[in-house]
Amino acid sequence: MNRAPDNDVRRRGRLRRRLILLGVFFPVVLLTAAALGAVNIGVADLWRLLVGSTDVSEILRAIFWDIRLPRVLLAALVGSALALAGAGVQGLFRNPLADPALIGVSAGAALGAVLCFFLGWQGALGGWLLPLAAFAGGWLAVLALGVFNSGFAGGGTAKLILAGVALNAMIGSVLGFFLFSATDDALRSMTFWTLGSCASAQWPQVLVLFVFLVVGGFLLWRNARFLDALQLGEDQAAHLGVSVPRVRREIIIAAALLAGAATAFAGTIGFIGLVAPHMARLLLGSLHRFVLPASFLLGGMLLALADLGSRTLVAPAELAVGILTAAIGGPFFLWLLRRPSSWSA
Amino acid sequence: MLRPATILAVLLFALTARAEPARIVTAGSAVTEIAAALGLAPQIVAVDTSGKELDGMGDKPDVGYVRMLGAEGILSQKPDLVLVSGEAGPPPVLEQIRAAGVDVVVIPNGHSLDNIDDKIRAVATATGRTEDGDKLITRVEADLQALRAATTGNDNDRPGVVFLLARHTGSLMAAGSDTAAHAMIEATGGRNICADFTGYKPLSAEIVAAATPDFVIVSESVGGNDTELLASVPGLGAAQTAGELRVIRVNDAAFLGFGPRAPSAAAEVALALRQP
Repeated sequence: MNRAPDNDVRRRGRLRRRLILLGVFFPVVLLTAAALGAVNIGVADLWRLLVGSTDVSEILRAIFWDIRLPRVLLAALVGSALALAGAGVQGLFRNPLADPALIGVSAGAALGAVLCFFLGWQGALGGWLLPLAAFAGGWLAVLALGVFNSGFAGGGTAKLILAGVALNAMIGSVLGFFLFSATDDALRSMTFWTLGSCASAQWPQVLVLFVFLVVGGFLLWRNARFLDALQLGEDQAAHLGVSVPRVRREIIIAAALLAGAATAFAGTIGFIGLVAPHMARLLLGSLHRFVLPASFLLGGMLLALADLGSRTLVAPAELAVGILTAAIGGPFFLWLLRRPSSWSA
Repeated sequence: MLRPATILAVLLFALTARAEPARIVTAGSAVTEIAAALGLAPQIVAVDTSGKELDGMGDKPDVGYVRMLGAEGILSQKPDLVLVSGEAGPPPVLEQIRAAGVDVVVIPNGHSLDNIDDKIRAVATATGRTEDGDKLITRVEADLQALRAATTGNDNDRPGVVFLLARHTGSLMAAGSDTAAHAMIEATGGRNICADFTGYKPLSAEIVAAATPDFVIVSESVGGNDTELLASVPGLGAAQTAGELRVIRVNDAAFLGFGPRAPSAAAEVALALRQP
């Protein structure tokens, strides 16, 4: 008689241990990424840098503190933000193929950035106009979707997905027009922006993204239980006392904040928003209380590793990070899929 | 023993020796070309991808595409000077390199033959090679003079020209206005038949047929003989069979780079355009 709850307790304990394990891996991966780069920093020097010893050359200190560390952190935060946004929209739409791009935020951000390049303004406002334009573009797209869906309250989720598809296609056609009309110079900048890169990382951007991550993460976290209820279907969730329109609005706002800010600083990076939440579910089951933090950790590690590859594989040149996210994450994901389904126990 | 003049001379030598950078990273084809022309090839420790195509630069480390540089990659080459062209970026990366205490000098772009000497002067000043710079400018001026001589008097009857970017056959892109190729066509006394659009666009067979170009300019790296090349361009059929269409092959970096070799490359094309 007591077996079932007993099992449940044991399972939760196991999931918690796995989450803690991921939490331990996270700083290890970040430190590894910070230790490696085009400039060789030995373990001894790395230690001296971390404890703030003055026994390290000026240039090494500048490379580590002003170039490499902000970049590793930005990559991790971008990955985390995209993965969280993905976990949110997948939970909301109950659709395993949903990713943040579905609500138009990525296409809108790309449009903002491309417009910036088109007008030759990418360097304006000390380089801040480009992320601002991208973020604004992402938000305008989500707002347009919201207006169409009367504040995300009316209509069902299916209608929202279809409206998102139409919106993406419309933005895609405007994007295509700009790409066609752009000068050769602008065109190349646009292309590289859409491949994604964390090379422009600086401390202020890391801080800004961190704030967005806290706000977006909080919005998702406080809806974690409702997201679980939503998996039963919207009607059932409503019967359980969940205010579906409110949850929908908050999840979309959170996803737009997270994906918008991430895209603004790193360009469009695919794959992570789609696959990191699935990895989290494969490892930790489907409760959002576990899926959300695990997505955060997995997404961050994935992009930090992809960025490490982008910095080192063809050094001193750079590989676009968008090329590497799937190359690194894909095999891992397939391995997870192939494993006997121990997680579902 | 040491006379003040000797001390002064030694000091001056030390100062000038310091002013000349020992390790330079260049990015941007024209900038690399100018630096090499100033005799700085041994000091250039790494170049961008475009620079690797220049003579003698093939075995230098590649810091990547000029618009997608990485701060750490460049710093790993331990430069004391980073010389880049105007399109180099992303801008924060240049800032990061400066913040690490390395001089970054941006040489402004200019799609015009008239400001090549400005670029040379800027590179020469940054590297302490003003004397070599002046010599190079004199040479460039002489080439420009030759170009002017080759283009005077044909303003009324400019031959129609199309510049084709034909890296792979089957994907032909023509240069519209706002391109380096357009500026060079104008400078060589030709008339760009694709001036109605901007940038590089897929070639429209109808435009080609209607405009009946007299010359096609392509990169010398494009394979195949002239007949094969022309056969692959849609819309050229009529002009081609009439035997009135000629192909001019140019060195990409020299013809489109607006570096020190541009004036002589332009003069060559200008002469070819005038041949009856």
